[in-house]
Parts: sequence; C-alpha cells; structure tokens
Amino acid sequence: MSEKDVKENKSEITRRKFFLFFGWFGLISSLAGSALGSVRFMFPNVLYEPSTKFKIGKPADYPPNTVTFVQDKNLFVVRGKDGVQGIRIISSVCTHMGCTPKWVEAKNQWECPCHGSVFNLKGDVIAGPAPKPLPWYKAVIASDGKIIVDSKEYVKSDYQIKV
Amino acid sequence: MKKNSLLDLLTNNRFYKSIFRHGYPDDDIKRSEVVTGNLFLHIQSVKVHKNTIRAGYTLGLGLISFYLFIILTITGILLMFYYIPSIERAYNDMKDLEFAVSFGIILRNLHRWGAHGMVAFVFFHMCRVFFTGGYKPPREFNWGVGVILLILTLFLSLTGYLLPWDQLAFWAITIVANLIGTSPPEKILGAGLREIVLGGTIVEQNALIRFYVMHVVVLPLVAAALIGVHFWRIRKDGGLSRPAEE
Repeated sequence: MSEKDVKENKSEITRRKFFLFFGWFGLISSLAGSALGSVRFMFPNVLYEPSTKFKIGKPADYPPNTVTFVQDKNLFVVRGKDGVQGIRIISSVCTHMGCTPKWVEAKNQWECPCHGSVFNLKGDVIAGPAPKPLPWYKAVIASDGKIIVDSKEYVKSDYQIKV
Repeated sequence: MKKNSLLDLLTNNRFYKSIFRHGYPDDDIKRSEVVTGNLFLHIQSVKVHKNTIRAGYTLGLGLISFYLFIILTITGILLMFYYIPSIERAYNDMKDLEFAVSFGIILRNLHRWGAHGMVAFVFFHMCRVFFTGGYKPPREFNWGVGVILLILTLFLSLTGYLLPWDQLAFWAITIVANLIGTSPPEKILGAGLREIVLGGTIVEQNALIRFYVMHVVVLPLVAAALIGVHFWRIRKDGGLSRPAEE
C-alpha cells in the first residue's frame, strides 16, 4: 500500500460516516441485547411442577421377589427378580406412546395394552412398536431409611439398592 | 452507486427487488416509491413542508406517545407469559416477575413506567395541539379521535392497575366500581354498570378476568385501530400542523 492510498483511506471516514456507524451500532446492539434478554426471560428460574426426585417409602414396603406398581409416580419397584437381589426402579411409561405397560407375573414381562409392546425383565423391547427399552431410574436410601428416586437420572438394568 | 459495491450486491438482485420493487433509491422517483410502496411508510406524504420538520413546534409528543404504546405492547406480551389472572396466583406471579424471572423486573418496570409516561405524553400532546390551535377546522374530527384515544389510555391504565392484585389494586378498583355505581339514575344505570364492570357485586375473580381481558385484548385493539385512523387523518387534513409561512 503506497503512502497515497493510506491518506485516501483515512480521509474516507467523514463526519457523516462516523455518526452513521455509531448510530447503526447503537441501534443494532440495543435491539440484539433486548432480543437476547427476551430469550433468556423465556427460560424460567423457578418451576412449580412436581420434583423429579421423590421418596417412595421404605425397602420393607416391597417384599422380595415381587414387582410393585407405584401409580402416582409412574414406576415399578422390582425386588429380587432376574437374579438381582436388591431393589431396582423402572419407568412405567411405554417408550412408544406413553401408555402404562402391565406386569404379567406368569410370563415375567411387561405388556403394553395400547399397541402390544412387550418388555422383558431387563426392560428391553422383545415385541411391538416401542423404539427404546424402559429406562431404569437411579435410587438411593435417604437418612430416614426411605428410598429416593431420581427420575431424571437413568442407570443400567443391574443397578440396585442392596437390602 | 458504485458497481459491485456491497450496497449494489445487496440491492441489485431478484430477492431484494421482489420485496422493494423500486431498487436502491438513487433518484427522486425511486425515493417517492420508497414511501408509497411501503405499508408502514405510505401513511406519510412523499413530500412535506419545510416547517413540518421543525421539531420545536410539535415537540414530537404524538410520536413519543405512539412509541410508548409500542413499548407497552411488546413488554405486555412478554409479561403475559408469566402472569396468570387468577386471584390465587396473580400477586405471586407479579412477585416472581420481580424477584425470580430473569429480566422480569426490567420488563415489569418498563411496562409500569411506560404506562405512566403514556398518560403524561398523551396529555402533553393534547396540550400542544390545544395551544397551537391544531383542533381547528379541518382538524376537528381528528381532535375528537384524539380525545377518545386519551380516554382509552386512561382506561388501559385503570384496567392494568387491578392486575397485580395487591391492596392498592383491590381498593382502587373497589372505589372506581362504587364511582361507576353512582351513575344516575343510580338504581337502573349505576347498579347495572357496576355489575357489568365487576361481573358481580364485589371485586373478585370475575372482576380480575374482566379487567384482564379488557386490558390485554379489547382496549389495545380499539386503541390500535383508532391510532391508525388518527395518523391517516393527519395526512388527509393537510399534514402535521405547522407554523404559517414566515
């Protein structure tokens, strides 16, 4: 770049261009700031929906070698099935359309009444249209001896609370 | 415009010209088409008198009122996402907007101060029109529209006042309802008006939802329509009022 070019480029920033730049810069940045703030506004900081962590009673409430349906929490408590001694928690929401599969003791499997999906004791789909296995929830024993389920955290089918 | 400059690249193509038929406005005809061919600008005349743009004459008070109306519409819509007009939740939702929702306090205060501002600026605008004789023929009809718009602004303020559902709101609306109830003949008109406004005999859930619907739907729609008429009449009545030729 020659010395002449530098001089010409510098003289191109007129008073009008300077104010135009800052005018547009101010307008666009304030609009962008408002837009970003509005997007953040749409994400609530406090929720009033039921907690995804909840208690479902003591281990003694669930006898060995049974599958118990806990209706208001949408889950089954599995104790001592499939060669696992402890307590395990599995979702009772069918991964197809959200119906509630029924535990069939005689066949050791869950059968969904809506579209015929069948899940085995590991939660895996063995028949029907369900695309994914039923998820197992993480659960621990609280200091008061009750079981706390975290329905947001999934675990493998052999995860258990030892009793 | 320079060939192959950024501006040329952006404006001299089929997409831009399908939106703005006239192309980049670099001569007088195209400049006039910018105004006539645009829904938002065509309410203005293509050319205005030199005195019209003298800011010191109108002080831009009408336009400031309109901008406040726009701000109130936008912030109001956003507030509606968190506010539920139920007597169990209204006050708590308002407090959540203040303390728990991100940027909620800014939006609530923008809406609140914008509303106070709009009442003030609509009033100042009316004073300016009065002192410059802007209500005189041929503008007397538009003065009438303006008076209705002032009343609508006051009604919007009043209906919004109940929504926080605090003691201030409750007693203010109790007083207003009793005021309405004294409209003569009291036994027939007053009592009927009071019942229609409150949807009952006391300020309760029915009153809250009635004020809410008036505040967020009915009054803003009527005001927006009348603002359109008001702006259109300015042009039809000979443009912005301005000082006589010197």
